[in-house]
Amino acid sequence: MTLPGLPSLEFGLAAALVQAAELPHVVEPTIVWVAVAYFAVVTVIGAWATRRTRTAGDFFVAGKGIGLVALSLSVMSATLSGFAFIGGPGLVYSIGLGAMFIILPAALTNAMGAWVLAKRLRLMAEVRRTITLPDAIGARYRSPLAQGLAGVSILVAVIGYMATNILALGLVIDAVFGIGVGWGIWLGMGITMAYAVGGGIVAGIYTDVFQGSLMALASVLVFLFTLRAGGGLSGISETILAADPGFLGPWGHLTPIAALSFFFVFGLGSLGQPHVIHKFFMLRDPRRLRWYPLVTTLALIVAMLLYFGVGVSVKALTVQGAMEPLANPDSATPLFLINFTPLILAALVFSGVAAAIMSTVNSFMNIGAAAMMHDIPVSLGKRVENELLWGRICTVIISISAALMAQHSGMLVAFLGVFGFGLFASTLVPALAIGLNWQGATRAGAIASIASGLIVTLLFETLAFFELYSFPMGVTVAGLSLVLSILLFFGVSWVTRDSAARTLDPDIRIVMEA
Amino acid sequence: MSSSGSGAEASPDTRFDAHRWALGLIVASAVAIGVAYGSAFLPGGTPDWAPWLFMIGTSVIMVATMAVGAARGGSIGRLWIPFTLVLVVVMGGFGTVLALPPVNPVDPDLWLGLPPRAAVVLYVIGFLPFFLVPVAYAWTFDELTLGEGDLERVRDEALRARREMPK
Repeated sequence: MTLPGLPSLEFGLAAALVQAAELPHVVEPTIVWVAVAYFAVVTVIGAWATRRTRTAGDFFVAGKGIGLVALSLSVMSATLSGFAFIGGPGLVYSIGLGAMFIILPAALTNAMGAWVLAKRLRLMAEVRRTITLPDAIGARYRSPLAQGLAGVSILVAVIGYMATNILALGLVIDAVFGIGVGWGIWLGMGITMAYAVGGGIVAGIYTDVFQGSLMALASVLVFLFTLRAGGGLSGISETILAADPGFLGPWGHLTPIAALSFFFVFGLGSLGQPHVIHKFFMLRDPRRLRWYPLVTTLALIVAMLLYFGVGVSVKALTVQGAMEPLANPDSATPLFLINFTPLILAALVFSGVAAAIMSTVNSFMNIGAAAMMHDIPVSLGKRVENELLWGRICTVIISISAALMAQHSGMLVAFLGVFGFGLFASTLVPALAIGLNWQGATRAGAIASIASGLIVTLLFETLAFFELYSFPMGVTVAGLSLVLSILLFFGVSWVTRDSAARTLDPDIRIVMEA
Repeated sequence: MSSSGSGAEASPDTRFDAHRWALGLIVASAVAIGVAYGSAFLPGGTPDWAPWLFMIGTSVIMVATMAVGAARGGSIGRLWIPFTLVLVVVMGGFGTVLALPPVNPVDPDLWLGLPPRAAVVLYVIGFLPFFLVPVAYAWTFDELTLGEGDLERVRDEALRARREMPK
């Protein structure tokens, strides 16, 4: 099935997350001034964080010194990206309830992450100098190869993710300031890079706190306006059911397997998203994790009200004739805001969208730089001397490369963008999430699963992108790759089970048994 | 497959090892999801049983993964209650959605503003687990996740273990 404005969704799950179409221009003095104020606040936070960043530990894991609220809001901001505000509502408008399966597992994923990863990763940071997820994989299996492979997977996915997010940021900035997408890319990238290079993840975390609060506030307010504009939820449902009953069917316009595949990949796959789980290293007091799932899940649910509200409300408004049917589903949020909310709220949301994208980009810059400067060299038996300096240099290299790619190669951006979520999930979930909780896992099992995730995802997403081969309706590359990776992980570990004890250091065993 | 091997207390062979069972369920549900995906390659399209198999597989794999992470010394203690409830909610919710007939678009029944099957998806599967798992995590944190003194104990034991490791 091909949807308007989207690549073949059935065959490229992550393609749905790519924001690549131009947004309607909303250049209004109020919106411009709120956006300027927003960028000023972010710059001030970045400058403050830069003064606090003195070591590589500060740069990559915030000196293991952040509190619960900062962790929760930062995880929420990094999870959402601009998709929750622009692409997501557009997807709901296009395919109905099926789009909700992307965010449906949210009530489960944070508790799952806390049980499976948060405690183990935080305790590992207590007993080893782990500053990255591939570090944790290397320590778990005593394997530089596994660490290097995980680093390569992260780097490949990060570049793709960053290029798509930077392009989305350029589109949003162009919509607000009317300066053209190219200048939008460099303005957005310049501000994000400035605080990411100076303040590293400290800047990222505290801008996330500001950005996350903004996103949650904007989401709640917009949701109330969507209900009012559509005539309440019952009114919206009755309007839509009369014209398009399938839209509010349980799977929307997707097949059951396709919708369930979203639930599986975005549920279990959440355990492999490095920009989120990397933050578990940073919590000051591990016992504060107690409230992490509750606070983070609540924040996520609140921030995602807009995703659902705008999608269904715009659908009802187009059925009623109050809005023209959308040629580009991504314009659902901008057009709703301009036509049905006060200007100041529209301004707040546009800043919220920029905030969501920038917080995600910042997280990717940091983990990408860590993979480039730390994980890949360590896997080759080398260690850089001044990790803080090289971390900053790598952040600049990755950022400029991604911005150039976003500006000059729309096709390459779209191509790389489809890898992100699925590649992270299939390469990291078995080796990291299950491996940290199962002493029977072996080095060979971990390497096989990471390699399989990398190869299967890249191969079949490439074939699908160039329309050489596609899976049947409902089968997603991300889902199939994740399943294969899990089965290989268990299968190879079982075959090589005699080596399990040899690949586990005693201090790591203690962390796993805690 | 060897299970966690956590050794705070001696485990008689007959004791129920939730960790080992959860690992087995992860493998079984991954196979189920793989078979459901594989059925889409059959001539004639996806068979009717495939969504049921996928639904069971995806519900079980998420709850089993939580159980693997939560287990200490092979046991999940009181957490079997919220985990069972979540499984019932998610699997039961998807099952209800698959079994219920479509709504009559002319005179629709609405549950809290949505057609029944959509309401089950959003309110039951999407929202109800919020009151189960994050709350259960907080409720059992001291006892089953990280108690007072655990951090110091892990730090000390790990340090001692590292000193004894061959260079």
